[in-house]
Amino acid sequence: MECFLLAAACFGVGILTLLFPHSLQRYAHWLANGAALIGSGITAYKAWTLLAGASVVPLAWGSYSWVCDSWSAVFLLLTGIAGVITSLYALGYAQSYEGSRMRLLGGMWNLFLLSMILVLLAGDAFSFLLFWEIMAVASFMLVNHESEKRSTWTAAYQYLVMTSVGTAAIMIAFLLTGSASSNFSFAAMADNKLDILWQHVVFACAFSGFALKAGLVPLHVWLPNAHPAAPSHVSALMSGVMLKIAFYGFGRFMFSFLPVWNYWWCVIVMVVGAVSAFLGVLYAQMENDIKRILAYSSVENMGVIFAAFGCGMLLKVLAGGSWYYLGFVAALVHAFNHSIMKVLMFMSAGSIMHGTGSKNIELFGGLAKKMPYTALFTFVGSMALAAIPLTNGFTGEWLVLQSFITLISANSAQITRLWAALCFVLLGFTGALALGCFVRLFGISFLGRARSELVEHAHESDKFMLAAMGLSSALVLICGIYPLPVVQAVCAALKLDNEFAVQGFSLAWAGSGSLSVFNPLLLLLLVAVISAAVYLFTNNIFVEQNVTWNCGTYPTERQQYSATGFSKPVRRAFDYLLKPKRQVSYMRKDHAYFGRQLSYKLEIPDMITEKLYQPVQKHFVGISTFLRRMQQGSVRLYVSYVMATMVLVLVWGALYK
Amino acid sequence: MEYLVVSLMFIVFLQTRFMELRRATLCLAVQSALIAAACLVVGLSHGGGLHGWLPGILTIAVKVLFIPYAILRTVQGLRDEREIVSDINVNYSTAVAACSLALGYMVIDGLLPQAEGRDILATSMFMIMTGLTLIVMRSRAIMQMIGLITMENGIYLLGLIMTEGLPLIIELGIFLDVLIAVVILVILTSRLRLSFRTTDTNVLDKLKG
Amino acid sequence: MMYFISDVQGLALCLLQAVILLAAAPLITGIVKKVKALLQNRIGSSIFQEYYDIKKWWGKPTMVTPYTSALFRLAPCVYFVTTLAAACMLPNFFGGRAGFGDVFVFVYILALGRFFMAVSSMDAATAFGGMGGSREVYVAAFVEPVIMLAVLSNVLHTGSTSLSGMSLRFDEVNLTVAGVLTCIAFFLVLLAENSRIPVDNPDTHLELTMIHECMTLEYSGRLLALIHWASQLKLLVFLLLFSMLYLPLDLPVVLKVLLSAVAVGVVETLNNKMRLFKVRVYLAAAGLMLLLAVVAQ
Repeated sequence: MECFLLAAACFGVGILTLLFPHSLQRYAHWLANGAALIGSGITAYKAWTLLAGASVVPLAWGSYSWVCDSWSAVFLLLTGIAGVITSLYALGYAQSYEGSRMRLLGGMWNLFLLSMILVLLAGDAFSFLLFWEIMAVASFMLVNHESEKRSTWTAAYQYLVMTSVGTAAIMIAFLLTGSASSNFSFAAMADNKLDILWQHVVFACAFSGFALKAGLVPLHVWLPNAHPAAPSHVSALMSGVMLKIAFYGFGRFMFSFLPVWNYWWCVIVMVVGAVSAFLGVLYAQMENDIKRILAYSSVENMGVIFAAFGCGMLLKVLAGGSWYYLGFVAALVHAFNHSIMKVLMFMSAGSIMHGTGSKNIELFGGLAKKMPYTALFTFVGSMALAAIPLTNGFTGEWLVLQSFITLISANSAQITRLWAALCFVLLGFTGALALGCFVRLFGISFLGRARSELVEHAHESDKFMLAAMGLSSALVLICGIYPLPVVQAVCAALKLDNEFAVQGFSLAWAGSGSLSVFNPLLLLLLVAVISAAVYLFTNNIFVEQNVTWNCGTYPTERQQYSATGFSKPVRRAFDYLLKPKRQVSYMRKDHAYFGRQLSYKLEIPDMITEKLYQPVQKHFVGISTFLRRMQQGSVRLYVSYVMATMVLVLVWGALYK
Repeated sequence: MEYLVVSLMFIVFLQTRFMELRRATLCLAVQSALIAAACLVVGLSHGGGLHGWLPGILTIAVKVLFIPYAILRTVQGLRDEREIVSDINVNYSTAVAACSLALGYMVIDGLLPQAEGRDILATSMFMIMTGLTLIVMRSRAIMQMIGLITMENGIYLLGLIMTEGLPLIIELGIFLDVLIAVVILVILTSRLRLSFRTTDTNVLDKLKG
Repeated sequence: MMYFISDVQGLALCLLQAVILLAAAPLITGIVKKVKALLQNRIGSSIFQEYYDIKKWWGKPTMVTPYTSALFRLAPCVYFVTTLAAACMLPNFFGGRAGFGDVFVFVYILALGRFFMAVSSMDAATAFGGMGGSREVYVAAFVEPVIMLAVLSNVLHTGSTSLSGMSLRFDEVNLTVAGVLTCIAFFLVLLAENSRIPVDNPDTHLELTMIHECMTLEYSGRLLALIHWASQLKLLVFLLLFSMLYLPLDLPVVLKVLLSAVAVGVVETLNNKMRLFKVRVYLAAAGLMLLLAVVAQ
């Protein structure tokens, strides 16, 4: 535990840079982000040694304790690595916040990282909730950093309210569990004596609380608003790590506190995950703001993680045997991979914003010529998020699909097969739509010609940002080609004997009957050999440059596809889900025979907000307004309420003695 | 003691009928004097000595002399009110007071059957209820204050009867009276007068949220 | 490490098989075109015409627009490489070891090729390119889950997701309802994935009827040769998969491939290309058939 205390001390130093005077804010920035870098590095290193077999002495005083078991260790590793990368990025990125509360940014950044690590280390309910709340508040302060803009503070406020609701649900779950055990430490709560009805209540509260924080549909509405509002490195950490911490909490509940699972719990988790994945990527393809696209993509990937977890739960409940854990391995591996991928993409979104000053991809185009390195890294990230082989996005996807196959082919009831097949189809849709989404993101932003003059003044990011993006791209590719360390670490975390056969460098799974093998290194070799051959043949082709044939006219940049146009077929295909609102108005006519000027407005309302949240909101406000009539402002009226109550109580006491 | 109780009931009924501030205050003084007398009686019956006399003397000093004097001083300063406020008809207050007396007897019979001092208990309940009634039904701040003090007298009486001897609670009650009298009475009334040039508390409902 | 080396030996065999398939692919496409021509009462070009076309394009210079990036030249190579790699994953004629060739890797490596092609379509900054790319990802959004479902029904039957494992278990004639449904559905998916009528018209270059051709409109010369060759190889690969895993007839594989090529030609002649937004209905029908097949097993 000393290592973690050392890391906490580093973060503490970073937090203390809040107190630097205004003139020293640059030093505060370097010190804060450097401290965060070192602290995260120590955490990652320690977590790695833990997963390799070391163990950690718990730290306890009174009834509060800090415990690090293997389930925490995976998430600590994830947090550490993401923290290192994003702090490196912040060294370059946060310099642009000079003069605009830079010390607060640095200090809160350290507090955020520290609170997340402490949530993972918490060994009893009170510490967990305390650090959870600190995490929520620190992230709120970070999201609200540019609070001059209306969109930022409304998004931050919505985030704060929703995360408080989630925390309330989690608190209820913890209190119910804790009151049925001897004390509130996790070890004691593991032997709780809840009866069945209360177990259902605890599951419902825990699932809704953690699902809200993880961003599953229908509780995801804060995600697409909060992530664009925050500075890019903050969004990266929130998407990459904070959502996984919600998964950590849910896992702890499922593994430790509710060891016997009901069939319907598993189905609910799986179905909610699959639906979130599908809806997330569908909305992602409709957005024009880079960060909203990435936020919806986070919703999608968290949906995949929870769907895989639900699949694992179902496997354990129904089939037993020793190969049920594939779902859990898949969920954890995908969580780890996704954090690296998402961090990379948010960093590249930040680079684009830093270089051009806008987030709207409709204004970009041809950025690859101005920002070549950013383009390269974004391309790697897009490939990873579209689950292309040879990147680590595919490893997680492969494992998730294998777990569903295992579930379907396990001798289970027809209805389970139907659920699993439906989720499988939804996941298939998700994979394909994700491909389209990231083709669109990369193609519209970086390729083609400039759609506005923002691109003229674009410039490449500075060396820290590029180094961070390069580091995470390298990790994406390495973990894609050589996934074994990650998978073995995850298996060690779940305390499984290595039933993942290690044949050379491949992943082999024998759960659904016979052997399925995924060997990325072999694939890479094959691809390399063929590429070499192709290169030899196409190396010295005679290339001539000429303008595209455009039926006789000179091509303009307005003729290329826009982002809205690119996603139109998918939008039209899912019309009944998205219900876009179109408004075409005819403005004026310049010429007698042709040339009308039209104005076209397209808006895709968030269906969940409209159909679920707003009616509930209206209902609540209506009831509150009605109840407000009780408060007339007259003291005498209030005293008469007191008097009436008193008389009633007395009479009641007298009559029913 | 019974005479005290009956005269207390009578005085409280009378209290509900006064609308003028000075007369109401004098009535309050008489009422407090009766309470003080009750306190003396109880103190003497539980053994004499300083401890028996002192609460009674303190009660006289605070409730009979100091508080009505403070109220009268405040009333003197209220000459330049904006308008004549309209209170609810006094007959209604008296009717409610009568009902609360009946209620008091009913409650005492229900809760504590065969209690000694049944009349005193019922009277204290009656005084509490009447005090609340006065607060609810009067709109001027001073009258509401008088109602509050009536209610407190009722609680004081209840405390006298329920406890054996005269414990510290009695002294605390006296000091609470002082606090209320000074802080709330003076400050509230003077602030109201400064802000609105009237002590009609109905103006306070502009402050609702 | 020993496993790795023998894996590499198996890999070399697979590569050899893939090169053979590469050589045979233009022939199959030529056969399809000949069948279409004969049904349309024409003589049509010879079945070796595709070879001549590739040779012609191979020698021509490549023209690029100045708006493109390095991705433009990279994409056809990647498309070719991934299709060849997918061909390597097919079950081995030589009875290779069941160690390489997982069906999800197969589907997703084709997705890698599709990713690069779709991205490169936006590179030339033309309207056609964007249109091709957007339509391609739309069709892919529906095709991929249906392929997964087809895979699923196969996996349920054989118990593993390894392609060679699947083909090894497929020796019996599978004339059950589930088998027939799966066969028909996979044929529909085959047509969609390889840009055949009724989903896409591989012969024309008109805006109404292009999806795949639209993406590749800007290419010329050797890059175009690579793209066409890769498309033909993809058709052959899918026909092979269809014959080996889904077609419930008891013939040698080569005959089954020729039979399915003729079937493709016949279906292309008898139908016309459907409207773009009917494609989802078409693929949803295929998906439902497969779902029924899965449930019926």
